[in-house]
Amino acid sequence: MTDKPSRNFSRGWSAFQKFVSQSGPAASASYALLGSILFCTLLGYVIDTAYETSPYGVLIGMGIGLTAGFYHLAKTMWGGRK
Amino acid sequence: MSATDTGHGAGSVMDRVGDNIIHHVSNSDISHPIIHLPTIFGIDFSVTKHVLMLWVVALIACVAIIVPVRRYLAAERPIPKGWMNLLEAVVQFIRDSLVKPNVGPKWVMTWAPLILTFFFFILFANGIGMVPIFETLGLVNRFALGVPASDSHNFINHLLHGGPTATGNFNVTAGLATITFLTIMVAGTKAHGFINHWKNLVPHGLAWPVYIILIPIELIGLFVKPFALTMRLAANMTGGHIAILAILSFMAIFADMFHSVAAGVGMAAVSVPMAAAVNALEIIVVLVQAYVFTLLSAVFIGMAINVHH
Repeated sequence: MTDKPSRNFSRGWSAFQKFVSQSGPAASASYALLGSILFCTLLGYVIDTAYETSPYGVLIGMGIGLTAGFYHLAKTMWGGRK
Repeated sequence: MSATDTGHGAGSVMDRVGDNIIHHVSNSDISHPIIHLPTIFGIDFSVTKHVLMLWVVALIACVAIIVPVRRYLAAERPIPKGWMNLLEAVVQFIRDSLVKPNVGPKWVMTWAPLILTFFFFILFANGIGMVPIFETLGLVNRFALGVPASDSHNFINHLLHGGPTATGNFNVTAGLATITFLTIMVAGTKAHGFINHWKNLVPHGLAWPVYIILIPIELIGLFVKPFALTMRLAANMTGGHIAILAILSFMAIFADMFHSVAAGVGMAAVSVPMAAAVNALEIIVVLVQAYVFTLLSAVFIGMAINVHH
Protein backbone atom coordinates (compact mmCIF):
# COMPACT_ATOMS: atom_id res chain seq x y z
CA MET A 1 0.00 0.00 0.00
CA THR A 2 2.74 2.48 0.96
CA ASP A 3 4.68 1.38 -2.09
CA LYS A 4 2.02 2.59 -4.52
CA PRO A 5 2.68 6.37 -4.51
CA SER A 6 6.41 5.89 -4.93
CA ARG A 7 5.79 3.39 -7.77
CA ASN A 8 3.44 5.86 -9.46
CA PHE A 9 6.01 8.64 -9.04
CA SER A 10 8.73 6.46 -10.52
CA ARG A 11 6.50 5.56 -13.52
CA GLY A 12 5.56 9.21 -13.98
CA TRP A 13 9.23 10.24 -13.80
CA SER A 14 10.20 7.59 -16.39
CA ALA A 15 7.43 8.76 -18.72
CA PHE A 16 8.56 12.37 -18.26
CA GLN A 17 12.16 11.41 -19.05
CA LYS A 18 10.98 9.58 -22.19
CA PHE A 19 8.97 12.57 -23.42
CA VAL A 20 11.85 14.92 -22.68
CA SER A 21 14.30 12.86 -24.72
CA GLN A 22 11.79 12.65 -27.60
CA SER A 23 10.96 16.36 -27.56
CA GLY A 24 14.48 17.49 -28.54
CA PRO A 25 14.29 17.09 -32.34
CA ALA A 26 10.81 18.66 -32.48
CA ALA A 27 11.97 21.68 -30.46
CA SER A 28 15.08 22.03 -32.62
CA ALA A 29 13.02 21.84 -35.86
CA SER A 30 10.59 24.53 -34.73
CA TYR A 31 13.35 26.87 -33.60
CA ALA A 32 15.33 26.22 -36.82
CA LEU A 33 12.27 27.19 -38.89
CA LEU A 34 11.66 30.41 -36.98
CA GLY A 35 15.39 31.16 -36.67
CA SER A 36 16.02 30.72 -40.41
CA ILE A 37 13.25 33.15 -41.37
CA LEU A 38 14.33 35.74 -38.78
CA PHE A 39 18.07 35.37 -39.48
CA CYS A 40 17.80 35.69 -43.26
CA THR A 41 15.22 38.50 -43.11
CA LEU A 42 17.43 40.47 -40.72
CA LEU A 43 20.43 39.83 -42.96
CA GLY A 44 18.38 41.14 -45.90
CA TYR A 45 17.41 44.21 -43.87
CA VAL A 46 21.06 44.91 -43.02
CA ILE A 47 21.98 44.62 -46.72
CA ASP A 48 19.05 46.90 -47.64
CA THR A 49 20.19 49.50 -45.11
CA ALA A 50 23.84 49.36 -46.18
CA TYR A 51 23.31 49.36 -49.97
CA GLU A 52 19.91 51.13 -50.21
CA THR A 53 18.31 48.21 -52.03
CA SER A 54 15.04 48.23 -50.07
CA PRO A 55 12.85 46.15 -50.22
CA TYR A 56 14.66 43.49 -52.27
CA GLY A 57 17.10 42.44 -49.53
CA VAL A 58 14.31 41.74 -47.05
CA LEU A 59 12.19 39.93 -49.66
CA ILE A 60 15.04 37.76 -50.93
CA GLY A 61 16.21 37.13 -47.35
CA MET A 62 12.72 36.08 -46.31
CA GLY A 63 12.48 33.73 -49.32
CA ILE A 64 15.83 32.12 -48.54
CA GLY A 65 14.89 31.91 -44.84
CA LEU A 66 11.60 30.19 -45.61
CA THR A 67 13.32 27.71 -47.96
CA ALA A 68 16.09 26.92 -45.45
CA GLY A 69 13.63 26.71 -42.54
CA PHE A 70 11.23 24.33 -44.25
CA TYR A 71 14.14 22.24 -45.54
CA HIS A 72 15.39 21.74 -41.97
CA LEU A 73 11.86 21.04 -40.73
CA ALA A 74 11.35 18.40 -43.44
CA LYS A 75 14.77 16.90 -42.72
CA THR A 76 13.94 16.53 -39.02
CA MET A 77 10.49 15.05 -39.74
CA TRP A 78 11.64 12.55 -42.35
CA GLY A 79 14.81 11.77 -40.44
CA GLY A 80 12.67 11.02 -37.39
CA ARG A 81 10.40 8.64 -39.33
CA LYS A 82 13.35 6.58 -40.52
CA MET B 1 21.11 49.27 -25.75
CA SER B 2 22.29 51.08 -22.69
CA ALA B 3 20.23 52.65 -19.96
CA THR B 4 21.32 56.21 -20.55
CA ASP B 5 20.39 56.03 -24.23
CA THR B 6 16.77 55.97 -23.19
CA GLY B 7 17.09 58.56 -20.47
CA HIS B 8 14.43 59.76 -18.08
CA GLY B 9 13.13 62.79 -19.88
CA ALA B 10 10.33 65.01 -18.69
CA GLY B 11 6.78 64.56 -20.02
CA SER B 12 3.56 62.80 -19.12
CA VAL B 13 3.52 59.49 -17.25
CA MET B 14 2.58 57.74 -20.50
CA ASP B 15 5.73 59.15 -22.14
CA ARG B 16 7.95 58.01 -19.28
CA VAL B 17 6.58 54.48 -18.76
CA GLY B 18 8.22 53.07 -21.89
CA ASP B 19 11.56 54.71 -21.00
CA ASN B 20 11.41 53.35 -17.46
CA ILE B 21 10.73 49.82 -18.68
CA ILE B 22 13.56 49.92 -21.23
CA HIS B 23 15.81 51.45 -18.56
CA HIS B 24 15.04 48.51 -16.26
CA VAL B 25 15.70 45.70 -18.75
CA SER B 26 18.76 47.23 -20.43
CA ASN B 27 22.40 47.15 -19.39
CA SER B 28 24.09 50.08 -17.63
CA ASP B 29 26.02 52.56 -19.77
CA ILE B 30 29.60 51.67 -20.77
CA SER B 31 30.59 55.36 -20.51
CA HIS B 32 29.76 55.26 -16.77
CA PRO B 33 31.02 51.79 -15.84
CA ILE B 34 30.80 50.23 -12.37
CA ILE B 35 34.50 49.28 -12.48
CA HIS B 36 36.95 51.01 -14.83
CA LEU B 37 39.23 48.65 -16.79
CA PRO B 38 41.63 49.53 -19.63
CA THR B 39 40.81 49.39 -23.35
CA ILE B 40 42.70 46.55 -25.06
CA PHE B 41 42.75 46.21 -28.87
CA GLY B 42 40.02 48.84 -29.09
CA ILE B 43 37.70 46.90 -26.75
CA ASP B 44 36.66 48.64 -23.52
CA PHE B 45 36.88 45.97 -20.82
CA SER B 46 35.16 48.14 -18.18
CA VAL B 47 32.57 46.35 -16.08
CA THR B 48 28.91 47.20 -16.67
CA LYS B 49 25.96 45.90 -14.64
CA HIS B 50 25.44 42.73 -16.68
CA VAL B 51 29.16 41.89 -16.62
CA LEU B 52 29.12 42.30 -12.83
CA MET B 53 26.09 40.00 -12.70
CA LEU B 54 27.96 37.41 -14.80
CA TRP B 55 30.78 37.46 -12.23
CA VAL B 56 28.26 37.11 -9.40
CA VAL B 57 26.56 34.19 -11.19
CA ALA B 58 29.93 32.49 -11.78
CA LEU B 59 30.75 32.89 -8.08
CA ILE B 60 27.36 31.49 -7.01
CA ALA B 61 27.78 28.55 -9.42
CA CYS B 62 31.21 27.83 -7.91
CA VAL B 63 29.93 27.98 -4.34
CA ALA B 64 26.69 26.06 -5.00
CA ILE B 65 28.03 23.39 -7.36
CA ILE B 66 31.82 22.97 -7.38
CA VAL B 67 32.40 23.24 -3.61
CA PRO B 68 29.73 20.65 -2.54
CA VAL B 69 30.73 18.25 -5.35
CA ARG B 70 34.44 18.48 -4.40
CA ARG B 71 33.58 17.94 -0.73
CA TYR B 72 31.35 14.98 -1.65
CA LEU B 73 34.04 13.36 -3.80
CA ALA B 74 36.67 13.86 -1.06
CA ALA B 75 34.52 12.08 1.56
CA GLU B 76 35.58 8.59 2.61
CA ARG B 77 32.10 7.09 2.26
CA PRO B 78 30.27 9.44 -0.12
CA ILE B 79 26.53 9.41 0.65
CA PRO B 80 24.60 12.32 -0.91
CA LYS B 81 22.50 14.29 1.57
CA GLY B 82 20.38 17.44 1.32
CA TRP B 83 21.63 19.83 -1.39
CA MET B 84 24.00 17.21 -2.81
CA ASN B 85 21.08 14.79 -3.16
CA LEU B 86 19.13 17.31 -5.25
CA LEU B 87 22.23 18.13 -7.26
CA GLU B 88 22.81 14.46 -8.01
CA ALA B 89 19.19 13.99 -9.15
CA VAL B 90 19.41 17.01 -11.49
CA VAL B 91 22.79 15.95 -12.90
CA GLN B 92 21.54 12.40 -13.46
CA PHE B 93 18.35 13.67 -15.13
CA ILE B 94 20.23 15.91 -17.55
CA ARG B 95 22.84 13.26 -18.31
CA ASP B 96 20.35 10.43 -18.89
CA SER B 97 17.38 12.30 -20.38
CA LEU B 98 19.01 15.09 -22.33
CA VAL B 99 22.60 14.32 -23.21
CA LYS B 100 22.60 10.52 -23.62
CA PRO B 101 19.63 10.21 -26.05
CA ASN B 102 21.06 13.00 -28.20
CA VAL B 103 24.82 12.48 -28.33
CA GLY B 104 24.75 8.72 -27.72
CA PRO B 105 26.32 6.56 -24.97
CA LYS B 106 29.84 6.82 -26.46
CA TRP B 107 30.04 10.63 -26.11
CA VAL B 108 27.83 11.19 -23.10
CA MET B 109 30.69 11.66 -20.63
CA THR B 110 32.54 13.96 -23.06
CA TRP B 111 29.69 16.47 -23.50
CA ALA B 112 27.64 16.10 -20.30
CA PRO B 113 29.95 18.43 -18.28
CA LEU B 114 29.54 21.26 -20.80
CA ILE B 115 25.76 20.81 -21.04
CA LEU B 116 25.53 20.74 -17.22
CA THR B 117 27.62 23.91 -17.00
CA PHE B 118 25.23 25.62 -19.43
CA PHE B 119 22.23 24.47 -17.41
CA PHE B 120 23.44 25.63 -14.01
CA PHE B 121 24.95 28.88 -15.29
CA ILE B 122 21.79 29.89 -17.16
CA LEU B 123 19.57 28.74 -14.28
CA PHE B 124 21.47 30.90 -11.77
CA ALA B 125 21.65 33.86 -14.17
CA ASN B 126 17.91 33.66 -14.87
CA GLY B 127 17.11 33.10 -11.20
CA ILE B 128 19.14 36.02 -9.90
CA GLY B 129 17.21 38.28 -12.29
CA MET B 130 14.08 37.50 -10.29
CA VAL B 131 15.61 38.79 -7.05
CA PRO B 132 15.25 42.58 -6.61
CA ILE B 133 18.75 42.92 -5.11
CA PHE B 134 19.61 46.35 -6.44
CA GLU B 135 16.15 47.82 -5.82
CA THR B 136 16.45 46.73 -2.16
CA LEU B 137 19.98 48.12 -1.97
CA GLY B 138 18.68 51.36 -3.48
CA LEU B 139 15.94 51.61 -0.84
CA VAL B 140 18.47 51.06 1.95
CA ASN B 141 20.84 53.56 0.33
CA ARG B 142 18.19 56.24 -0.08
CA PHE B 143 16.14 55.89 3.12
CA ALA B 144 18.42 54.20 5.66
CA LEU B 145 21.79 55.68 4.66
CA GLY B 146 20.32 58.95 3.33
CA VAL B 147 22.42 59.04 0.14
CA PRO B 148 20.76 61.28 -2.49
CA ALA B 149 20.04 59.90 -5.99
CA SER B 150 22.16 62.71 -7.49
CA ASP B 151 25.35 61.45 -5.79
CA SER B 152 27.23 60.13 -8.85
CA HIS B 153 30.21 58.89 -6.76
CA ASN B 154 28.08 56.48 -4.73
CA PHE B 155 28.68 52.82 -5.71
CA ILE B 156 25.05 51.73 -5.14
CA ASN B 157 23.72 54.62 -7.23
CA HIS B 158 25.85 53.24 -10.09
CA LEU B 159 24.22 49.83 -9.60
CA LEU B 160 20.71 51.24 -9.91
CA HIS B 161 20.88 51.59 -13.69
CA GLY B 162 19.36 48.64 -15.53
CA GLY B 163 18.05 45.28 -14.39
CA PRO B 164 20.12 42.40 -13.03
CA THR B 165 19.13 39.71 -15.60
CA ALA B 166 22.36 39.07 -17.50
CA THR B 167 20.65 36.46 -19.71
CA GLY B 168 18.25 39.18 -20.88
CA ASN B 169 21.22 40.77 -22.67
CA PHE B 170 21.63 39.57 -26.27
CA ASN B 171 25.44 39.83 -26.03
CA VAL B 172 25.48 37.34 -23.14
CA THR B 173 23.22 34.83 -24.91
CA ALA B 174 25.23 35.33 -28.12
CA GLY B 175 28.36 34.43 -26.15
CA LEU B 176 26.73 31.27 -24.82
CA ALA B 177 25.43 30.37 -28.29
CA THR B 178 28.93 30.89 -29.74
CA ILE B 179 30.23 28.28 -27.30
CA THR B 180 27.50 25.90 -28.55
CA PHE B 181 28.42 26.71 -32.16
CA LEU B 182 32.11 25.95 -31.56
CA THR B 183 31.17 22.80 -29.63
CA ILE B 184 29.09 21.57 -32.60
CA MET B 185 32.20 21.95 -34.79
CA VAL B 186 34.50 20.23 -32.30
CA ALA B 187 32.00 17.41 -31.61
CA GLY B 188 31.53 16.70 -35.33
CA THR B 189 35.28 16.85 -35.97
CA LYS B 190 36.06 14.56 -33.01
CA ALA B 191 33.45 12.02 -34.11
CA HIS B 192 34.12 11.94 -37.85
CA GLY B 193 37.35 13.84 -38.56
CA PHE B 194 37.60 17.38 -39.98
CA ILE B 195 36.94 16.56 -43.66
CA ASN B 196 34.13 14.09 -43.00
CA HIS B 197 32.43 16.49 -40.61
CA TRP B 198 32.07 19.05 -43.39
CA LYS B 199 31.14 16.33 -45.91
CA ASN B 200 28.38 15.18 -43.54
CA LEU B 201 26.77 18.58 -43.78
CA VAL B 202 24.88 17.49 -46.92
CA PRO B 203 23.35 14.12 -47.90
CA HIS B 204 25.61 11.89 -50.01
CA GLY B 205 24.92 10.52 -53.48
CA LEU B 206 22.76 13.29 -54.92
CA ALA B 207 23.01 14.80 -58.40
CA TRP B 208 25.56 17.67 -58.40
CA PRO B 209 23.10 20.47 -59.33
CA VAL B 210 21.20 19.71 -56.10
CA TYR B 211 24.31 20.55 -54.08
CA ILE B 212 24.31 24.10 -55.52
CA ILE B 213 21.09 24.67 -53.55
CA LEU B 214 21.76 22.36 -50.59
CA ILE B 215 25.21 23.58 -49.53
CA PRO B 216 24.13 27.23 -48.99
CA ILE B 217 20.96 26.06 -47.18
CA GLU B 218 22.99 23.83 -44.88
CA LEU B 219 25.51 26.63 -44.28
CA ILE B 220 22.62 28.94 -43.33
CA GLY B 221 21.38 26.18 -40.99
CA LEU B 222 24.78 26.16 -39.32
CA PHE B 223 24.43 29.82 -38.29
CA VAL B 224 20.70 29.66 -37.64
CA LYS B 225 21.19 27.26 -34.71
CA PRO B 226 23.21 29.66 -32.50
CA PHE B 227 21.08 32.57 -33.72
CA ALA B 228 17.89 30.79 -32.55
CA LEU B 229 19.54 30.05 -29.18
CA THR B 230 20.60 33.70 -28.80
CA MET B 231 17.26 35.28 -29.62
CA ARG B 232 15.09 32.77 -27.78
CA LEU B 233 16.77 32.98 -24.38
CA ALA B 234 17.29 36.76 -24.32
CA ALA B 235 13.82 37.52 -25.69
CA ASN B 236 12.11 35.23 -23.18
CA MET B 237 14.01 36.63 -20.22
CA THR B 238 13.42 40.25 -21.27
CA GLY B 239 9.78 39.63 -22.22
CA GLY B 240 8.74 38.48 -18.74
CA HIS B 241 10.29 41.49 -17.04
CA ILE B 242 8.68 43.88 -19.55
CA ALA B 243 5.28 42.25 -18.91
CA ILE B 244 5.60 42.64 -15.11
CA LEU B 245 6.72 46.27 -15.36
CA ALA B 246 4.00 47.12 -17.89
CA ILE B 247 1.33 45.67 -15.59
CA LEU B 248 2.71 47.58 -12.59
CA SER B 249 2.83 50.78 -14.66
CA PHE B 250 -0.98 50.71 -14.97
CA MET B 251 -1.11 52.23 -11.48
CA ALA B 252 0.83 55.33 -12.52
CA ILE B 253 -0.98 55.53 -15.88
CA PHE B 254 -4.45 55.39 -14.27
CA ALA B 255 -3.51 57.91 -11.59
CA ASP B 256 -2.29 60.26 -14.34
CA MET B 257 -5.29 59.66 -16.63
CA PHE B 258 -7.91 60.40 -13.95
CA HIS B 259 -5.75 62.96 -12.06
CA SER B 260 -6.48 61.01 -8.89
CA VAL B 261 -4.32 59.04 -6.48
CA ALA B 262 -7.38 56.90 -5.63
CA ALA B 263 -7.54 55.67 -9.26
CA GLY B 264 -3.91 54.57 -9.02
CA VAL B 265 -4.47 52.84 -5.67
CA GLY B 266 -7.63 51.21 -7.03
CA MET B 267 -5.71 49.95 -10.04
CA ALA B 268 -3.14 48.47 -7.64
CA ALA B 269 -5.82 45.98 -6.51
CA VAL B 270 -5.75 44.58 -10.06
CA SER B 271 -2.19 45.13 -11.23
CA VAL B 272 -0.31 43.93 -8.13
CA PRO B 273 -2.00 40.46 -8.07
CA MET B 274 -1.54 40.26 -11.86
CA ALA B 275 2.16 41.16 -11.55
CA ALA B 276 2.51 38.59 -8.74
CA ALA B 277 0.91 35.95 -10.99
CA VAL B 278 3.26 36.80 -13.89
CA ASN B 279 6.15 36.71 -11.40
CA ALA B 280 5.11 33.19 -10.37
CA LEU B 281 5.00 32.24 -14.05
CA GLU B 282 8.48 33.76 -14.44
CA ILE B 283 9.81 31.36 -11.81
CA ILE B 284 8.74 28.50 -14.10
CA VAL B 285 10.18 30.38 -17.11
CA VAL B 286 13.55 30.62 -15.31
CA LEU B 287 13.71 26.81 -15.13
CA VAL B 288 12.20 26.15 -18.55
CA GLN B 289 14.53 28.53 -20.38
CA ALA B 290 17.63 27.02 -18.79
CA TYR B 291 16.27 23.60 -19.69
CA VAL B 292 15.42 24.51 -23.31
CA PHE B 293 18.84 26.06 -23.97
CA THR B 294 20.44 22.92 -22.57
CA LEU B 295 18.16 20.62 -24.55
CA LEU B 296 18.74 22.45 -27.84
CA SER B 297 22.51 22.52 -27.30
CA ALA B 298 22.47 18.76 -26.68
CA VAL B 299 20.32 18.20 -29.81
CA PHE B 300 22.61 20.34 -32.00
CA ILE B 301 25.76 18.62 -30.72
CA GLY B 302 24.04 15.26 -31.21
CA MET B 303 23.14 16.19 -34.81
CA ALA B 304 26.83 16.78 -35.57
CA ILE B 305 27.78 13.40 -34.04
CA ASN B 306 24.92 11.19 -35.24
CA VAL B 307 24.42 12.24 -38.84
CA HIS B 308 21.13 11.10 -40.44
CA HIS B 309 20.21 12.17 -43.95
